[in-house]
Amino acid sequence: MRTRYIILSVLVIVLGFIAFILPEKDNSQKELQPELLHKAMIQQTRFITTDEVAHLIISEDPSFRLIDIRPEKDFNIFHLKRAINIDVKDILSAKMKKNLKESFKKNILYGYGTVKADQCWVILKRMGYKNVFVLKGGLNAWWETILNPTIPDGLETGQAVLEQYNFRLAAKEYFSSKGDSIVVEKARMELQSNEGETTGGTSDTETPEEGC
Amino acid sequence: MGPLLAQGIISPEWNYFFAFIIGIGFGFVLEQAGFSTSRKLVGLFYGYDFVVFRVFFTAAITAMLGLIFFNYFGWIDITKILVNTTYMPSAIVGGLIMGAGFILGGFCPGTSVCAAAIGKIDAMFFIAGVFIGEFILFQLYPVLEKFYHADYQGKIKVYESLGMKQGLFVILLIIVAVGAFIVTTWIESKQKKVEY
Repeated sequence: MRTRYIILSVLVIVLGFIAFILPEKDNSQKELQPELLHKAMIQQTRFITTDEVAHLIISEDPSFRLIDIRPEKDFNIFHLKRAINIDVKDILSAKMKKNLKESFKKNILYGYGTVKADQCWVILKRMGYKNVFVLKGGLNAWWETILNPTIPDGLETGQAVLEQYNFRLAAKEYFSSKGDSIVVEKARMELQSNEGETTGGTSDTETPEEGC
Repeated sequence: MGPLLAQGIISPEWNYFFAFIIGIGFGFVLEQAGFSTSRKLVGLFYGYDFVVFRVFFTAAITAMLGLIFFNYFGWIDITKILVNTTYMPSAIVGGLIMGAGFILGGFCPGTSVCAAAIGKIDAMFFIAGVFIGEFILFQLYPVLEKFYHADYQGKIKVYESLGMKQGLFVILLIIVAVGAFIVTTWIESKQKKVEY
């Protein structure tokens, strides 16, 4: 009996040593087939609205993460709460892969508009990441809908529209109390004075109807 | 490639069926090993019987090595293995409550069901206590929710939180396990034999 335990102990230590020298293998990265990628691109399920993101932030939902794909200097001026900054040029970096491997149910990409975030989504989706989403309209939409919600006009009626407007008013109060609207306004003024790096730049505000 | 459910190889219905079969096998093995006896289970805490410690540590080591080698051979995608989310304060408090209940009652939730299945009345009371505790938790949940979800750390693994590589953690854990087995066997040899 004692001999058997000694043999088993030696065997386990040997197996442990083999496990120590074995390289870690990642079986999870499978490139998405073009047909499946095309199908995913046609569907609109990857888009998350500003209302949904505002709700996630206000309710302190732990299951999501925001990834700001703008340059670092823009991120430092203003960014959404709980966002991390990974510049679009670094989306294939080890930092991005490490962040996407963490088990957040939703990793939400955003930029000034939709286009760049959507392009990043295509690349990451093709790499096999399933939990990546896009903030529809980006920070431009955030400014227009959350920080500066407009009163529904007479043509837009119905309980749902009013509830949405009331929610946006409340969200505006929440984020304004954190000083967001002032910071964003300053950021917009600063960026509009820089040529080609504007929040109204056409290259980033194009939101093709079909997604990408 | 496994896991079978996460990869869509089996449906959720078949998953429940296999879980049922595995559960029966698990209960059978527990009962055969004597884990339906509360005095054997609490021997770990009183220092006269460390079988529970050795069996569960052996199971953990076996599963750990199995997963690593299966992943290396491409038989399983280790990233799809379920890892519970870590909320540290509630995990610590829950662990203390569970440990206290284990020492007082002589069972953990799994072994209590195993013992109740063979007719042990104290195990049945233990199970009732588990349900009462859950009921109390549900009633107090609105008050406890913030603490319950405090300090969210995601689905971290021990070696990640220690900042070491997986392979290093594996060999260190095995060395600790073998050492613990030697020490506990020596302690048992110095104790008076307890008849159950």
